[in-house]
Amino acid sequence: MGAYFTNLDQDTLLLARKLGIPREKLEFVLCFADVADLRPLRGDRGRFIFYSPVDYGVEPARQIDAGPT
Amino acid sequence: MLGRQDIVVQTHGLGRLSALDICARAILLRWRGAVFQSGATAQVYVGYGAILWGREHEIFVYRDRDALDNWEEFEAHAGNANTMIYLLAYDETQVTVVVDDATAREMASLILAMQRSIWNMSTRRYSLEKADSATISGAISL
Repeated sequence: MGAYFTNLDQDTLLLARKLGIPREKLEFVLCFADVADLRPLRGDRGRFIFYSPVDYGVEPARQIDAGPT
Repeated sequence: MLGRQDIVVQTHGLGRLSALDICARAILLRWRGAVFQSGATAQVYVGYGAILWGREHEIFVYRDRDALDNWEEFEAHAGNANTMIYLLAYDETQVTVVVDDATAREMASLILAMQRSIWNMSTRRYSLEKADSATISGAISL
């Protein structure tokens, strides 16, 4: 299962459609500093979708913002 | 959990724009009422001929107008599964085809149609290039 992330801005047009997720999954956001340890998705969506094959912890020092969008 | 599945289709030397165009036409052959939307601007194109291919790297193809309306209202949900195909082409060597379920009969058939169309166009072009070079060789030997 793992965890998936995007580097697209919250204001990106058709964001939910590009990510392939229901609208309600856009209701909350967690922004954090990248340390280049996530893998890009195979194919062109790998330009903006990254994943971790296991649960992904983000230590407080990397957390930038969190809350409702 | 991320929705949808990403299928990478090789362009076999056709380049990204030609391959994207071929994929769109392959879908249109099956979905006669297909509606196209720009991934960059969200502009809905009225008819295939209106697509501004030169500026598009991403195209959403909906089965019909009802499918587009459903996606606009609800985004992804079980009720509109396999009614939209997301095509991306940033690389000259590949097109990415994003569908809900690549094993569903209609989706599998559409993906195969896109792969075959690209391959057929590629081999046709290669044959023509071979014929051209043979003609040139013949002209030089005269």
